Amino acid sequence: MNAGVGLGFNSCASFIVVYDLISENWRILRDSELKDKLRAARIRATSLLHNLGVLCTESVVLVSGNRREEIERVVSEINAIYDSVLSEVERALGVAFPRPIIRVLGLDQEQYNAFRELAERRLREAIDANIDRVSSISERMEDLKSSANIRNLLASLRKLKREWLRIKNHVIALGIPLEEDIDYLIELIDSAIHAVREG
Amino acid sequence: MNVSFGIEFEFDVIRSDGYKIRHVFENGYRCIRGWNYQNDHTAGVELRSPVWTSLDEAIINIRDQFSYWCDVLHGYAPYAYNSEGRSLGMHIHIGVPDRRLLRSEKQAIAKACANVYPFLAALQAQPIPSHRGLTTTFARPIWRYNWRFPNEDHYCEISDSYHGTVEFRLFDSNIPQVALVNAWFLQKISERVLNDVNNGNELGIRLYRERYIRDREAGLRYGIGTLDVRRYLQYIKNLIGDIELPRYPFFREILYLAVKYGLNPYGVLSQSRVSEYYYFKQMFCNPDKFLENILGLMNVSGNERLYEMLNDAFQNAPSLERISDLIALVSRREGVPLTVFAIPEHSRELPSRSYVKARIEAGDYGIVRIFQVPNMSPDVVAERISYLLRYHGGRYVRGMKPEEIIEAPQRFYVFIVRDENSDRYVIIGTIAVRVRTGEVSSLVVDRRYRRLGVAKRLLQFVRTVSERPLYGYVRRSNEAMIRLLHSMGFELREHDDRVLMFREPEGGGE
Repeated sequence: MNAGVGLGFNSCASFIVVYDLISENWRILRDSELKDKLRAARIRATSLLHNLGVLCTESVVLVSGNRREEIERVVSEINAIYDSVLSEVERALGVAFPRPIIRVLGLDQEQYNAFRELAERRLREAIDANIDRVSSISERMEDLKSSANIRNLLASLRKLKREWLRIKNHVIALGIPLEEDIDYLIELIDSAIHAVREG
Repeated sequence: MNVSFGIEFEFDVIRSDGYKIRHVFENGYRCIRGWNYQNDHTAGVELRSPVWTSLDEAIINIRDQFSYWCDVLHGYAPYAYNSEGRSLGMHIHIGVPDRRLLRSEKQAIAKACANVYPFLAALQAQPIPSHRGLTTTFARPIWRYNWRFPNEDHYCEISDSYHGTVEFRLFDSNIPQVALVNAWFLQKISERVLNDVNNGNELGIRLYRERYIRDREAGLRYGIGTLDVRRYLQYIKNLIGDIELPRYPFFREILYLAVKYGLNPYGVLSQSRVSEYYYFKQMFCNPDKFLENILGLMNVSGNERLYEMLNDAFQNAPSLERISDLIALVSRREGVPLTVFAIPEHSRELPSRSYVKARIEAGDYGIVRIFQVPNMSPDVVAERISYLLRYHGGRYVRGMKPEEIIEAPQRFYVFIVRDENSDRYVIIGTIAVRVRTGEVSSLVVDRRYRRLGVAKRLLQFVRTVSERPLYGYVRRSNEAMIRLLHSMGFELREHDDRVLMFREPEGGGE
């Protein structure tokens, strides 16, 4: 399951992690609370995988070479999560479910360049979309301040900031030239948080 | 004082087989006494009602007219609906029966009614988004006239009609029932206003311009559910008192559905999937009824949710006696009312930061004056500048209204980029300079596009047009701007504890 990790990739500058997790959309799970458990496992696993690096495309994460141990830890954690949930499902329903597939591949320079290009484009689009989103929030600040959802707004802005601070660290580690754009986005988020607090 | 009203009905025509006639319908001139046919090439048919002084009179008269029309033109019905590319309206005239209104009376009526106009227009919007209200040139927003309304321009959405009336032109073509609800509100508000004007009282009504712009956009684009209906009803109640609502079923049913479910007659028609021919025929020939007309045509199967709502209205709307009952209904409404801040069109769907960055790096941009932006009127440019000052300028930037911007002694320049995706120019920043003195009084860039060199290019440009070295003021907390000014060779001096003064050295910096 964790092919690649601990198998001599120490010298790689970066990795990609490709995965296929188990979805909860099985007919046999309909109207069962096991469906919610499987869903929670999938969401947690996705979050752990995404936090490893930056997404190149769906189900492919580009991870910097200095996070090898972190990859191993995450893969083990996901396996444990799924083992626990799927064994419960199998006990309850008597049906064997497939296990998630997670593969870790070390990249040479050419491969890294290709995946970095994919990640950069995707990130640039996300930065543009988030700058637009936060700008719109700032434009609507007067209205939003008068609404009852001010606490939710503050929480979502803080969460967004945390998320982009995390991505920024990966971007620096992977040598993707988007640090300035992310800094500007974080600055915008900060000023929006400041404006909300002033209300 | 007795206030009268009349309605201009513009509509296309639908045949019993569903075929729609969207050009001038030669036989549509059939009228009973008191009605007029207007030869209008923009509508299938335009019929003008006589002057009415009461809802009772209007209902009987509309029933007689359209029963006659549908009888004579057997197999055809009015199609009061704006298909793609059509701009059919139902213009409501408010006046007095025995004379022309004075200009001062018209102004008082127009101002008082303008405060509820977005709500009423949303009630009558058909379809949603309303083509007529959002894109037509036949009902232009009042801010295009610098808020001078009712305007002599016939196409102003609140126009000073040569009939001696105030003409409300924003209403979409729709069934007579909803136009009558709106006419009743306009009539009652006008009665109150005229009584006060003629008794020498000053009502002191203030028009909430920003809310007008915002709600007009939101209501016509997204429907009545996006408006703060309680505030509108409260305003009406404060103005005309908690008077009894007319007892006609259609009147209370339409308001019940709007207030409780955010559903206007268009919403009912579009969800009910009834035959449009029979729907319009029934509505025009039985204007005192609304739900009875449509429930008879509806197939419940597959429409259960709508049927439930209509049935609720059918059962409970008759118990709505007064405006306060409507207000109470708002507070019983399920969930939190949706509020939408509608960003104006000039500031919506802007190109991405990366796109603009690429255009700037390629030198593919322009810095021009207000009246030089291609395919954009100076009014819209001024609105965008006003928007940038207000929403992107920070708290120390002085806000200016569009009309102030156009008339200001300083010269405004805008930074424009062509957006190939939407095939339009977008304004991403602006600078204002007094050419004679060199004072830079405003410099604002849309947040989306800061740190791309827009401010620097604007400053470099105004250096070339100013007759004196540039100077201005900058907040101490605006570190990015201070860095830019330093890099361009400006000198910065103490001004006060919050602000620095910047000045270009004689002979120019950089």
